[in-house]
Amino acid sequence: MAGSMVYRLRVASPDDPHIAQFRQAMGAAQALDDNRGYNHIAGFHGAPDWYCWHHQANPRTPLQARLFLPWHRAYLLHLEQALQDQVDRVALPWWDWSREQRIPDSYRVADIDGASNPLHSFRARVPTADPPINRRTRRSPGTHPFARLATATEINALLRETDWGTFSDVLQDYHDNVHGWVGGDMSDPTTAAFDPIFFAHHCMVDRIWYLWQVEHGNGAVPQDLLDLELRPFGKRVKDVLDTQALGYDYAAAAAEIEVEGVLNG
Amino acid sequence: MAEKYVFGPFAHGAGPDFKRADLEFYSIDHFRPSFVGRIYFNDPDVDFDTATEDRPSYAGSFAIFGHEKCAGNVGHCDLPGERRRFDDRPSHPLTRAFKRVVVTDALRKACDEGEELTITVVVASAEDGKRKKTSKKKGKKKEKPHYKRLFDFKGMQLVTFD
Repeated sequence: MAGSMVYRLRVASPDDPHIAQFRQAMGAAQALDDNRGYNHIAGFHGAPDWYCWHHQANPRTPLQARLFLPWHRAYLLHLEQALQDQVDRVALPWWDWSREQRIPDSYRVADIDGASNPLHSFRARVPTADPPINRRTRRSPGTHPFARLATATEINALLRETDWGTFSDVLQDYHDNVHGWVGGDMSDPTTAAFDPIFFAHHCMVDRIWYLWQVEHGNGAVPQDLLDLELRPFGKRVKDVLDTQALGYDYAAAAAEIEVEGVLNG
Repeated sequence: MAEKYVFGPFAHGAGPDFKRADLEFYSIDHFRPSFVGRIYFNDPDVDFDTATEDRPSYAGSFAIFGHEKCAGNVGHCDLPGERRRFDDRPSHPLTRAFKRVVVTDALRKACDEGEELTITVVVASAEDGKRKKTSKKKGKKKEKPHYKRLFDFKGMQLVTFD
């Protein structure tokens, strides 16, 4: 049903229906060169738009504006809405790197059923970069000598953390490790979002924040963050605290049940 | 190239009953390739080859999602100086980073060893992994990096909480 809430599910095998649907939407978005397309949206993070928030300061906050989680939540939502323009009710999948400590098959295989896999790589095009970028994204997973993927035990321990600042900082550090571990374009904010696995990684980060919110609520989020803008998404931090109000939730499984035939049969 | 920094020995000042200890790094320059720092207490001899997470002196680690090369025109990656009064735009993406590493268990152990602490930080980038693999092969000539050190920061603080 158009406009109803969607459930974000774990990255599954390439032939899983929700992954096939997501792949179809990504393929369609990647074929668009205009502002509805993947290339344009990927460009919000690093080159050419540089909107991402990782370590920025803000004069209204004492040490550092911890916009890492809210900014990326708004970013995921923006892409998800653009993908739903292509395929109704499609939802972003999350790569649980704490349990599946390798590139998932759905993102690793270059071709599926004789067609190139839009989750494997993407031709990034940034003509205004210096030098201009026009090439397919690359990865080198597991080659960084120190970077590693946080374990499920570490994530469970982090979910018990009660202080928002510590939770955000530690989760951001686990996130930084994933970027280093995947390597290649993912290891640099300039090009990271052009790699389709960026969004599966950040969907996992967003899910961990969601799980933390279920446990601890939003009371620990500092008041001085709530009105800060999340550019260019037209939202403020307070607008992205409730995932259900944004039209999505995280689930272990969801199966669409055909009712039309029964009701009208 | 992997780097190693040894700080101390200094008096850690931790009392007997702290509940948590954090090691904080201030103002880290991340106009660099992504790198990871591993921290060791009272182990100044640890180096890149021995800096494992199962080493008894291991205290924790931090990762930096680094911006390796400037993709803009001249000046694009230069941090601006003092902001103008009415400039309320978000700060530059390369504003220096803050990192906090929870080191509670490692500091408790160090407290058992005495009142002084030595902190060793070993940092490495993906390039070090390649170098390790191809150390005997003749590699192609690398472009000179725009930075002097991989790990450049302005302050560090060990904080304990009751």
